[in-house]
Amino acid sequence: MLGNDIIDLNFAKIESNWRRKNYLDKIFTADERMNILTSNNPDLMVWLLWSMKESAYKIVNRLTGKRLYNPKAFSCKNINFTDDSLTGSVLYDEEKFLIRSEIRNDFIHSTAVSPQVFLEKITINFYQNKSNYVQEFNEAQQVYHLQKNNQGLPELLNLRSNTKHLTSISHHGKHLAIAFI
Amino acid sequence: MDKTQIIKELAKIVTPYTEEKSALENIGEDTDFITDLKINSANLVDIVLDIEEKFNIAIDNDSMAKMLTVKATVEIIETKLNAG
Repeated sequence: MLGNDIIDLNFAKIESNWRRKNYLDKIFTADERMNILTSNNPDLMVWLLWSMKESAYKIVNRLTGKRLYNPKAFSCKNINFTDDSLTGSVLYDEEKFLIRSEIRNDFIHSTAVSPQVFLEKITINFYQNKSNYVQEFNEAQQVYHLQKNNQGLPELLNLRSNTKHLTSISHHGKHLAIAFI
Repeated sequence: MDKTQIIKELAKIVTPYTEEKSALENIGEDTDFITDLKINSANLVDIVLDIEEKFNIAIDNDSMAKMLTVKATVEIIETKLNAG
């Protein structure tokens, strides 16, 4: 299983004031808050940790069918930075999800996978976020067709091989990401 | 405060976080913050904080976990107000 989450950093700056009293307490664990407040770039760290949680939540939501707003139950661990990416994991109950995040100029994107899935096998494509993105994607693509499966989850159909790929889509602000196995 | 008044206050609270004007005008128990009002999940916490301030109640993590719809949120506010 996979989940992804994209955050347009310019939009996040306008939409959310994470410095608001009690904001961090409600959604981040003590370790995560420490991570944010001691970071050289707390704005970036807030949204990186948030996107890690959101991408893992997507997997849990797909597996359980339950919707909950419980970000503190998703705990970010083992965070490793490079210049433009992050690896880490998110713990939820007994489950551990592996995460890889990409840091670009004006957006960040996190992908979460269940332990049996390899992050390296995932393809991620970035697009401009538009309301008719499904139509535009399908018109531009020769090989892949974006559709929903019988559970209402997105999937990519390879029109040549007739194989289906598990897909996760996220959009925010100007950005859209389609991740698939 | 009765249910109708709570929903009215809730509508005021969520207004800055939604651009779905018609869904907001028709807000009711069945309204879903994310699917109907298209509220960003990072703003749901603002709504929780606004509710805490407006109604002078404390919302614990278990209650917050359910606050995805107007119905669940009104129930939590009512319970906390009665307990206080």
